[in-house]
Amino acid sequence: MADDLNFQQISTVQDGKQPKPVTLTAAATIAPTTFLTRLSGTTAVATITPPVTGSHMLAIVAGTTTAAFTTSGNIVGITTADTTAPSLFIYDPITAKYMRTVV
Amino acid sequence: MALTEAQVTALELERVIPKIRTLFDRDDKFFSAIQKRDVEKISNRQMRIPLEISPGGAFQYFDANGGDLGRGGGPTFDKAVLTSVFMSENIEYTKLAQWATDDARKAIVSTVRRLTATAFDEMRRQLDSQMMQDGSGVIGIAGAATTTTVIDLTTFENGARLIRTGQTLQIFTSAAALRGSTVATTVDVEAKTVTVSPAVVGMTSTDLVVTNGITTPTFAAAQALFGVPYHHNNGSTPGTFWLGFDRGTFPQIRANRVNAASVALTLPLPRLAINKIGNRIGIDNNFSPDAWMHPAQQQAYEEIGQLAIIIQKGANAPGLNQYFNGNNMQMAGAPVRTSFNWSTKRIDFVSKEVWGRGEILPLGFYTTDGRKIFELRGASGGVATADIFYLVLGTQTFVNNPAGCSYIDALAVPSGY
Repeated sequence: MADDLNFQQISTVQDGKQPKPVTLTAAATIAPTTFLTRLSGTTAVATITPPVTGSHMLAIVAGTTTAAFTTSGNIVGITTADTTAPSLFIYDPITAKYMRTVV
Repeated sequence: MALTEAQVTALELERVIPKIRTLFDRDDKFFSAIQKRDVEKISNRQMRIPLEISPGGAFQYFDANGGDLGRGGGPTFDKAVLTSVFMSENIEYTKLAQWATDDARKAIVSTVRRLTATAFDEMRRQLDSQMMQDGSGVIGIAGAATTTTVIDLTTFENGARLIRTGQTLQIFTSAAALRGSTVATTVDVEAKTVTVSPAVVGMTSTDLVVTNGITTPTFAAAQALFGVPYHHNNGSTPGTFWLGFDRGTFPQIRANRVNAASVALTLPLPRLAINKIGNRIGIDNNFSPDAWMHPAQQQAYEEIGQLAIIIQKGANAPGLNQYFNGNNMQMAGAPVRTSFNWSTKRIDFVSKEVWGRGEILPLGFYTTDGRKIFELRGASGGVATADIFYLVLGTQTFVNNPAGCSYIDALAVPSGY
């Protein structure tokens, strides 16, 4: 469930008392709760559950495999990831899709 | 066809028992005892506690027949210093939670009223927990059965008592490297486990569970409130400090320790602990400590007493009570005081005359411009339908004579605790 009250948890600027980046087990659907998320495991992520309802950005580091994302869910764009650098995803509330940035 | 209950469901009343039962504790025994002691109002400048740390003068025999009397000296004075640390308890609720319960016709209790009333109790309970740590902010050390989502505290001396549900926890390695932060979702006091969410990758045995806001969870860094194990500590490691004194350099500022070496409580240990105080600061010292302990050690003491019970039963049928009054026990003259938050392996002899607090900010609401409750903001910049208030405290504890402090540690714990 989107929780707009917690929008600061996915802000790009945070303080030391906010939740530290979370490592999620890679699955077909993941639900990030922080701006920066790390993945463990090799399952490709197809759907990202938006933590808030409006436009926002998430940074996800695919820790294990470069084939970390697929476009069968709500992700569009490049699916090949980097295992050490973050992939940035911009959420479009009109299409309800995450657009992987071209970096 | 007969009318069934389903057809009258709309007529049925629901009964809500008007009294709320609390299924957890809000014990603050020790902090309350310290809170009542003399409080020194301090600024953000270091508070000084002047100490006469060593005698002086030059004693000798001399030749009265024209001999040289030589030179002299005098005692040495120094100071213990402390500054406040700041702690807060943050309470947040949505307007719907408030509006849904703000009238006796809506709910058995007003949520906001209850939150404000219990927040002080919860803050004091947290402070009592903090009084059980050694200034490092560590409130748990993960045991062997720890996973990424469950912290095993079965081997930690305080079990899961120092952690509260909903509390943000930081997880550090035993070498004080940060793994991440998480929130305690379930605290099982009996099983001594804490379930957390989100999972903390790599969390394992020997990891440190640390209070939020502490950046370096070490005894040496001492960023947290100075609890009992900070002052009641005979540590002599150079570079670790007691109120500004290097523990390695000044034996005068080390507390008195009796190491039970994992053996069950025996009668000589408390007497030794008390006598160590006299050995340090004189037989005529005026200290009258209380013996603070977990009820587990009170039970160990009681079991010693039970071994000495002699039953002389006649023909009548007397009642039987093989137990002693736990509220009227003494240990080498020290009244026994118990707290379930205490380490199960320690007995601390706490002299009320010795303990005190410096305080820059008394416990109360965080207030700005007369406001105690603040609205949250939504992502748009508009007001969010949720409020937050903070209970804040700026304080630090001290003891004015660490030689008057004594403790027994590494006690065996009776079965079942």
